[in-house]
Amino acid sequence: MAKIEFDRVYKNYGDTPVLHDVTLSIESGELCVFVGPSGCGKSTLLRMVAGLEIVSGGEIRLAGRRANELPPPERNVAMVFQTYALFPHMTVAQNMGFGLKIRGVPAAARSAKITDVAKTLQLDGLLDRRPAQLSGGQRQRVAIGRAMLRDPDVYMFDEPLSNLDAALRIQTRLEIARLHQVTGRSMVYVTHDQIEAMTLADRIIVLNRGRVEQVGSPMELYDHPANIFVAGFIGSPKINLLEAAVSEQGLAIGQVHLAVAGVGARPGDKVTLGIRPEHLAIARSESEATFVSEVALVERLGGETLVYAQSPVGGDLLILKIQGKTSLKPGERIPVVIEPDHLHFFDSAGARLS
Amino acid sequence: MTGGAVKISSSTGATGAIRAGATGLIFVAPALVLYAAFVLWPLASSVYYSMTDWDGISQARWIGFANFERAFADKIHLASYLHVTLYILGTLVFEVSFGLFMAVLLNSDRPGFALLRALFFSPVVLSMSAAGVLWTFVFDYRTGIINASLKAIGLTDWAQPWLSQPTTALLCVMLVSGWKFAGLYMILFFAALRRIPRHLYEAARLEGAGPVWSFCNITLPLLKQNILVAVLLAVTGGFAGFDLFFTMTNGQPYNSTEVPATWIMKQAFDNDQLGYGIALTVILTGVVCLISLIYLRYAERSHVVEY
Ligand SMILES: Nc1ncnc2c1ncn2[C@@H]1O[C@H](COP(=O)(O)OP(=O)(O)O)[C@@H](O)[C@H]1O
Ligand SMILES: [Mg+2]
Repeated sequence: MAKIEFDRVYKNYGDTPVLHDVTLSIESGELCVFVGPSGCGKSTLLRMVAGLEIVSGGEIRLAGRRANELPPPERNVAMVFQTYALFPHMTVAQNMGFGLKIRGVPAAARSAKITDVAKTLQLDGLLDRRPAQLSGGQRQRVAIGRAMLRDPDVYMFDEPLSNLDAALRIQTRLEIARLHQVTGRSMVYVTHDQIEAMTLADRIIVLNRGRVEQVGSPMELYDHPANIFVAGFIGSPKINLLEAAVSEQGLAIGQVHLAVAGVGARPGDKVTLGIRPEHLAIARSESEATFVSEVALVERLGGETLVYAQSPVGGDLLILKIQGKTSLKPGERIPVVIEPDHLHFFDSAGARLS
Repeated sequence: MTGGAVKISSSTGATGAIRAGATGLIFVAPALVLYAAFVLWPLASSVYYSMTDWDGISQARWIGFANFERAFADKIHLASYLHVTLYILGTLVFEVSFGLFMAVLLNSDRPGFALLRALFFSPVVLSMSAAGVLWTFVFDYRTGIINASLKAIGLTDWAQPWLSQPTTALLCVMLVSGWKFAGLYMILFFAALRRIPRHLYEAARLEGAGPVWSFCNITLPLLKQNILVAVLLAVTGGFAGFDLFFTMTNGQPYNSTEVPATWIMKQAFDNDQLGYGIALTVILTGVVCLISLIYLRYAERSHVVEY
């Protein structure tokens, strides 16, 4: 079991800084997800834990020991690569078992272990095939099987689902969650897809441009985003962000006045108001409404409906998430009510106001 | 109705195919004529002249298989095949293997490596005879830089008449050949190395694989196709090898570096025995064809790797 700690970690490629001052710790047995837009440094962070990248500054500790200079095999981590990294000239069995072979496990014990893991991953019967003769999902499972045979302290996944189709993605996601439950090992999982992060993680680390934006459980991030970036990145459909000014009575959103207390800013300050789509509702009458808006587009998802409507400040359309079905059509005018209990306020620098 | 339609279209299809074949023949005719005139005819006439006693000027005299009987009793001719085999083995070591080694060694994006690769490749663009002449100076017993260096560091006894003694002459030719061509194989392998995904090596490293394991279990198997091509180039190129031998040793000393090509030249043009020379050429052609066939049988059976 291994706790992973990052202590003021920096990474540069040549003169280009990629990670700045990353400090965080991943508890042993935790499933931790690094999420962020493409190019923000997630893979780099993961690869530094594995020992595939040099740490430019700061310290990475595994189980309390400085690991910066530790050779990769001694870290006892297993990695599932986005491209699976299967050897094209080896069979499935050889691909899964080559690590055991390198570590000198005798052939009989090796093949027993391979058969065992292949059975749990439903790969039995495919052991003599080559990767080119497998489907994407099967290749993915071979890569996971290889990691399982390593019996590592830490499992690492670098965007393992991005080469799979939607149905397979959900299935494999469940398999990874089950693997975590069964083995109880630490897992570090990298993805750019916030839904994957939300569904899998014990804890999410949101990265942006090489900095940690926020660390927390999925619900903490959803309910209390630390800044505009996290608020915008976590949640689907996206949070509505509106420019507003603090007034004596509450907030002025364009021509609309909203009576709220506890914004955490002084009258006259500019703030950004964040409202999740499910916290906007259609009122029964215009007298109950906060403002009246015009429907631009309706997306019917079956159980729920997304209504895109004009914003009182112009710019991006507002998104309303409504339970059930509706007969609304584009062009109709609707009374919109904002639920004041679930609002998020951010200052002009983007940080959360309490 | 539909059955009839199918019948009609199939019968016109058959005659159509024949007609298309006839038309096609008109289009291939020029190529066929050229192929016959410049490949088939010379080949056939070579076989004819190989069975004659001919000096290239006077009337050729038919002598049947006498030239071939003589060839298989010709000790120097037989030895030339031994020498060329040794030379080819040498090129597999000094050109192909060393080229592969350098490709792996210089496979890096770090600054300076592109320059090193260019330097290592540069002898390839030099003409073979220029390389031969250049190295003759280097190996020279009295004035060559090798013996001068050996003497300078006190190893006077090590100085050798490199190109004038049977024990070292062939080795010297192999070394120069390696110097000349290793860069070509390096570039060939380098391009292939670039196509191997980096993640394969990283996955191996995480499991504790060292560079030797990775080379033997990842690089070599994935370069198999390229290695096969390189071996074919080296073997066929080896049999055709002439210019380096001609400029460096011309078969000397005591025919110890005689290869088929140099011996054929001597017989055909120095000794005015064109008929015998052509017979030796026919034998050489047969040997190269045989080896190519064996190679193709083997190469066909190995799969192309897909990532
Ligand atoms: N080997 C490298 N050399 C130079 N820059 C790199 C290298 N690898 C990654 N980068 C840069 O570092 C940044 C972070 O990359 P990466 O960690 O792969 O991002 P992510 O996985 O979040 O998409 C990117 O801007 C990328 O261009
Ligand atoms: Mg990445």
